[in-house]
Amino acid sequence: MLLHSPSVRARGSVPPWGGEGVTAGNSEPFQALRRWPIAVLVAGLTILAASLPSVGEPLLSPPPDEESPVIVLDPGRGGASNIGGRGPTGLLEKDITLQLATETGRLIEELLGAHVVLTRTDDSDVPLDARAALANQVGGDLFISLAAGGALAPTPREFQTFYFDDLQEKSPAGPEPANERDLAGEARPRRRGALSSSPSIPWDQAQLEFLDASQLFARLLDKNLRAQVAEEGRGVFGLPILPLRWVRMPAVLLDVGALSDPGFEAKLRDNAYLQRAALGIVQAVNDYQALRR
Amino acid sequence: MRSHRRVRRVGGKSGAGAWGWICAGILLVLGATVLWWLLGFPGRSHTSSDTAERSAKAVTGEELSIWFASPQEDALVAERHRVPAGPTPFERAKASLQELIAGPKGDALRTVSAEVKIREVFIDEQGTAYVDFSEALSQTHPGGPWAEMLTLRSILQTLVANVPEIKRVQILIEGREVETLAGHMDIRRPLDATWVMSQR
Repeated sequence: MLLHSPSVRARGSVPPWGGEGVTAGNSEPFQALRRWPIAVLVAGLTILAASLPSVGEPLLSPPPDEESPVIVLDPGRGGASNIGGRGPTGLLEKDITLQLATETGRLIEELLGAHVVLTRTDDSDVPLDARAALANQVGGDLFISLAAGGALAPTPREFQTFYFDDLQEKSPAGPEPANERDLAGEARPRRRGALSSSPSIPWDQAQLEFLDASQLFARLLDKNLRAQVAEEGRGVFGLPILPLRWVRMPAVLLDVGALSDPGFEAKLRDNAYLQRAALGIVQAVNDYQALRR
Repeated sequence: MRSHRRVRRVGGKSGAGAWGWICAGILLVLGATVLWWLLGFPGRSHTSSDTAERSAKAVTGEELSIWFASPQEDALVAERHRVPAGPTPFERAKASLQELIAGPKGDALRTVSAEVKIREVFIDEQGTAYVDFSEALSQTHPGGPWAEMLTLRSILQTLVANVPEIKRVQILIEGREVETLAGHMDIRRPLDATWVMSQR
């Protein structure tokens, strides 16, 4: 595993594009994990990885390099004025999303060897357009926004996965692909590290090119999360969601559940539940990357 | 001389008769027009009766279709609320939204907090309704993309169902266009009446 790899830590400390975005693994709740003996951690991760269902290809841990995919994780909410949902006993959405994103990022780096970029790593209120701009600037290959929103009533509501759909215009993406592999094969040339030479795309239409790929990844996420957290989920939906509209890469929003439900709030306080949810996301990323190869 | 006068007299009598026929024709056309007007041509009759009907409903109350969320939060459900709605599209729109804010009578779920105020409603000639809510619409919302979607659809569907003139709805908060309702749903532009939830 690459938990203590110097290259990983170096990447995590100073992002090449500057600004506030840094890689996963440096928030306080998970600093303690890093202090565990390596053997215990490796054994634990191995057991967790082994317990994954056989969806797609097995998780890989290749050494990170310049060709490694960039996964952008977007912990929703943040700051004093944008706390998001609040559980009956005070758990806040902004804290849950950051905790889940940090843990997911750590696992993605360790198990998949991918670069991970978080749109925020502390309790700051990052505007939606700044989150999208950061993702586009680093040339991300996948954008995963995380939410734990409320509901209209304090009743149970399981996780939901969303992709962008304007609902007011016909999709310019053309006919449905013949199968998932064909769809995944429509990947564009990598844009990372340099300004794109392709014609400029209007900011509001950045996502239109990736509607099918986003939908594919949303389905993979739904499938893997169901397997990991043992919930049915509410399904995969297309909605006009920000900042997905502005993101120039396959992008989804995962709402892990209604924090206003007392039972679900208790679940979210359990680190084991968050760990399983994180593993579901990691497995979905792995499945998606496998389809693109 | 006499015959000449007779001829002229005969000729004058003939001209007077023609004018008489013309006058009679004009009177007939005018009469028919007046009669048609009194009986009413279709458009005028409709407008007249529609206005009268609406005026009566404004006094006695009218059943409006108000859309709330189902208890399972998986759909919208309509309730019939009898209220004095008013004859104009503006009055009907405002009455419909007031009922939406007042909340459901059955087991449906409210989609808009009771604290929300309607600051203004304006409907332009193209059928776009600009609805200006107080900031409570955003601040009291529980958040979450799904709940936001239900709220927006309930507003849109309630307006479109009760005010045929409305084709789309632009949500404003405290007089301004905002990015999202509560952090997720893009409401910078008007929501079209065909705006529906897609599930795949």
